[in-house]
Amino acid sequence: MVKKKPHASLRGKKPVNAAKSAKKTPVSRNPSHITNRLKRSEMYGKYLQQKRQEKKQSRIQRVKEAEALGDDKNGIKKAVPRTLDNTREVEPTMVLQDPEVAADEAEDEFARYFHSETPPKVLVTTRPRPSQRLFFFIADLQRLIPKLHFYPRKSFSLKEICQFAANREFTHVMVLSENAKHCNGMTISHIGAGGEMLGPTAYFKVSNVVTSQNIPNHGASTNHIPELNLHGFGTRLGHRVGRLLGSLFPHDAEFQGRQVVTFHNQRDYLFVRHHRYVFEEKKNIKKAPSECTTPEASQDEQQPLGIKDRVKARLQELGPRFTLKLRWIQSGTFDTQFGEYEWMHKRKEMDTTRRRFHL
Amino acid sequence: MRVITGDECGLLKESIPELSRRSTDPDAPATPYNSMPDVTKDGVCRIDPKEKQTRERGVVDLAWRNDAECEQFSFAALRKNGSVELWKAAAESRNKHANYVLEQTSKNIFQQERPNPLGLGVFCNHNRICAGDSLGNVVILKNDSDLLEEVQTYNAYKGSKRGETLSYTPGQALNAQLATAIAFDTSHGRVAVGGRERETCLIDIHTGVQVFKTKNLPPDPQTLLQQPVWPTAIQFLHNDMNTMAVGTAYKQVRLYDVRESSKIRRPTQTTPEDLLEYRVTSLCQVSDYELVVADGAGYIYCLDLRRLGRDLKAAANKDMGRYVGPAGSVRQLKKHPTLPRLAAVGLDRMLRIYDTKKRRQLDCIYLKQRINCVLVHGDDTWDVNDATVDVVDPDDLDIDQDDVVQEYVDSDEEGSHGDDSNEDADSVSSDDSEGNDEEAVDGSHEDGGESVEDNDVEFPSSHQRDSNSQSESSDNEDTESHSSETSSEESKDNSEAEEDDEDVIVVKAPKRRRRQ
Repeated sequence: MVKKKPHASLRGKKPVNAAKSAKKTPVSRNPSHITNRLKRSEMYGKYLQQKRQEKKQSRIQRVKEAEALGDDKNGIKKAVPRTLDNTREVEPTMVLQDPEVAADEAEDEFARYFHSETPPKVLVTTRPRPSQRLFFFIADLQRLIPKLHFYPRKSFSLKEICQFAANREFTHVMVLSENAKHCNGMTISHIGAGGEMLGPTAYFKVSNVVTSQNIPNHGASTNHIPELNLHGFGTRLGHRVGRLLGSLFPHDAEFQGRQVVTFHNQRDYLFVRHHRYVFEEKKNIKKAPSECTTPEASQDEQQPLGIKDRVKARLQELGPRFTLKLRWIQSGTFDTQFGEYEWMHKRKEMDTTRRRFHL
Repeated sequence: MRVITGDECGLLKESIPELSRRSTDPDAPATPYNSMPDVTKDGVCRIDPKEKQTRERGVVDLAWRNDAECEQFSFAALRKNGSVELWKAAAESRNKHANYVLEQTSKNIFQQERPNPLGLGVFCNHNRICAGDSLGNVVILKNDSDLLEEVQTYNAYKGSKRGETLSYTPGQALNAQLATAIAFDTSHGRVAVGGRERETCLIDIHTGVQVFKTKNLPPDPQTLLQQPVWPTAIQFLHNDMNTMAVGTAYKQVRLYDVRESSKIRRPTQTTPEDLLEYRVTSLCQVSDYELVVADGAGYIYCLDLRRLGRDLKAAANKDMGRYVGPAGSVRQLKKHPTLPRLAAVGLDRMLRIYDTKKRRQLDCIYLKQRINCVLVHGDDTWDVNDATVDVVDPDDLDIDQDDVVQEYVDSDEEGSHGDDSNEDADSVSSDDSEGNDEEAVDGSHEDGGESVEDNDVEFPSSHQRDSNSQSESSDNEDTESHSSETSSEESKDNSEAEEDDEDVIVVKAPKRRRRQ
């Protein structure tokens, strides 16, 4: 038999042991292109192994570099992870110390509360025939918001309730809606003591409600007026919502009570928390001079520690813990039939990317 | 294009949307800036920088004081405290940004202490300015440059029943909504006023007599319930000012025939019941048969007037177009006098410019305050190239189709294409693959900035190739067209529209397959 000549493309190439070469060549690319199942799974295992190796190597490298630099804090580059908050889409409505915006806010419906000209008086009610669990939440809310008054809904319409509230000089009306014994919605309407500035109405979706009884190591709140912490409200819409929530509270806080209510906005979710804080001072711990590595370090130790290092705040959670998400804001009082919406969340149009946040 | 907006805090701003566009090509010749020496970076400028910003002085309505053909642009502004201001464009306004001078300002023209003004209209033919408030009072002023003299005050509702006294109890919501919509019929000298549970009525501005009162649709035959009525937006259709479109808070739009001789007072056309979901806040007519309706939640719909009937229970015609964009209630819609551009302005603090043919949003400018009214400048001399852009949709371009070329602009014309050379490499390949050489010419000429960005299927390479052979013939055409451009934009617009149908200049280049 004539020995078959190898194919022209193999000319000049020596036969190679495939098994040996596979160990040497690194699997650089995800082997999903291999159609043979056995081979593919084998290559994938090697690929993962190799990735772990690389990661380990880079970590060892980083540690070495950090050691080499020593205490020089400028040299160490902290790897900042890329998060949704970091890579948020630039929103043109972000407020960046604008005198126009400041003038607008100085005149809006909530300015009176922030200047303590009018004390807020909030009315809370529910949907008709609420469940028993909602009352625990309302009791918690009464500890959260000073000057909160509960009225049973009976079967009045919301417009009537707003009218009654205006008659009795309430400034805000809050309506809780629920489904299957869980509170799922909150409408806050500013009625401004029957004045002309009939402010906006905002509807929030409520989730993750935890009453104070269910919080481990919770504290008991007193009726001191808490401090207010509105954090993370960046855009014009955020300012508006923040001011609406802030106007629920009187603005002459009693620091003796050491209570603080936080509305923290992150990625359009508002986290509401109620804490009692206490400041504790750390005593100045001195290191023995022999342990100091550099003369500068020893000098640092002997100087008193800065405020940040010395004084720490410890928090004890009181009151309810819940999350709000803004659904819409209407200008004017609650009027879904004929109202004009200042902002309405339209999911398909607005949530085009994961990096876009409105508040 | 220039747009003037008035907002809730009393600020008047002029914006030029073209400047706010983020330019994708940093090397593009900055022609706009050259023609406007003191323009701000992002195209928005306050007209009244010295005036105080307070809510009392919130601008309720704006109206042009003279016709579109007039050279001197001046407008009137109605403020929340009832005062009317007249602004005039300063002499050099063509090349300057927001250069307006306050001519006249009046005190509160209404009789109440705290009026709730509704709208402002200018009757150029009759030399009157007219303003209405929410109690139905209509105040007529003389439209003279020197004086803002009050001529008459009418009440739109008093004409209807003799001896009827209107009472106003502060605090009662219903009483504050006696009039919620106002519109001005400038050609016939009539004012239309409508309110909550009060039908729209037209009064004559000279006599104050009620000329026409609309009638509601007949009650529903099954339930015998009357259709409730609450006009919140009225617009006279400019076909011949004989039809009036009324948008109600009950999510309807109705059309009435309001001729003097008309005996039919019931609506001639109405939108079916389930078509709109929120209260109608603004109407604007975009073309002969298209009416744009904006509602309280920021939905802007384009209705086809030919398809509306009288039947309330008709199948809700859901294939009407939408202008997507606003997040909040749209307070006013205005169409550019000549270009197919629609400006929408509302509570979400954004000014949006749309192309009415494609319903695409061209610009979205953040204007910091909630905006109540908008005026679109008819004068588009500030940017010559941009004035006649027809937004070319890449999906529309068909392969192997004879293309209509409106105008041929030479490749070394300014404003056309610094980007030609950049796009050369890309478009050559696409050119060959699609084998279409003719497309090049139309997209490239109008406006370097805009259509080049939009139209990816751009073939300036072939345009350059062709230019050698055709430069001579086209040069002549080009210089002619260019001179005509500078002389009168509006005639060019018209001629362009015509050019689509007749006088098609088809440029057929031989198909070339080889690359250069």
